[in-house]
Amino acid sequence: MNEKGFATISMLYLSILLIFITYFIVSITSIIYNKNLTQNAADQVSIKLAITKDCQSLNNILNLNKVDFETCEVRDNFVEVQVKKTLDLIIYENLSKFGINLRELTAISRAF
Amino acid sequence: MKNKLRQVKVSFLKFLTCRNFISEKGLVTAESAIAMMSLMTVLGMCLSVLFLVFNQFLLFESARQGSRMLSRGENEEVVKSKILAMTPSANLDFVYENDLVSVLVQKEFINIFRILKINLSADSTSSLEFYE
Repeated sequence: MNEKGFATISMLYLSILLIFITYFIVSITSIIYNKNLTQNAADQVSIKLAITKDCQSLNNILNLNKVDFETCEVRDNFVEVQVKKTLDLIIYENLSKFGINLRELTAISRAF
Repeated sequence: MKNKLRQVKVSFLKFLTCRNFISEKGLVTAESAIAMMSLMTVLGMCLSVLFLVFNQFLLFESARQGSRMLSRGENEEVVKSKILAMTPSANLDFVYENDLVSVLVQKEFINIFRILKINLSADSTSSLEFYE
């Protein structure tokens, strides 16, 4: 027995571990990023709805913020809107590898 | 005589290549040194990816703030300076469409990212609160 290749094998394992950790962090971060996008879109849409009080007028701002409409309520003293964002297939597949089955993200926002 | 010839041959090779052909002393150290360099390269790549992710968050945050400021009727120059303070050397684009305003923030990187043609961008759209 000799020690040839010992260091190479250890470094190879370490490299694989590093790449896996980075992959995991990026996958989790993509959820947080998309949640931020969705919440921002919900906030912008609710502000517009508070001004117009018309749920039909929201299509343009929804499209530009790349989210889909879910519910819209105009009440006496406030408005409430719920939007959803469908995650890209590549992100969905990456998350599935870690046991996270998340296809859509939703966000609710209210404005006066 | 044969042994003596062999010894001379080995000594000559040692002299030529500065290496010890007989013992394995220092082999692990040399191997570790080379393997460590590749590990550092992998670490650098991983950190670069995390750097890009962090910058994507930063770009989105500045686009969001910029669009909110514009929708509240803030001056474009003020918004520009605010965004550039958050993300230096970013390219900004303001698009007005009816009662909506979109802010597009793009950033080109230097060094390796430029060679790989990696650009990041983020946009956000708000409705103008003082639209007539």
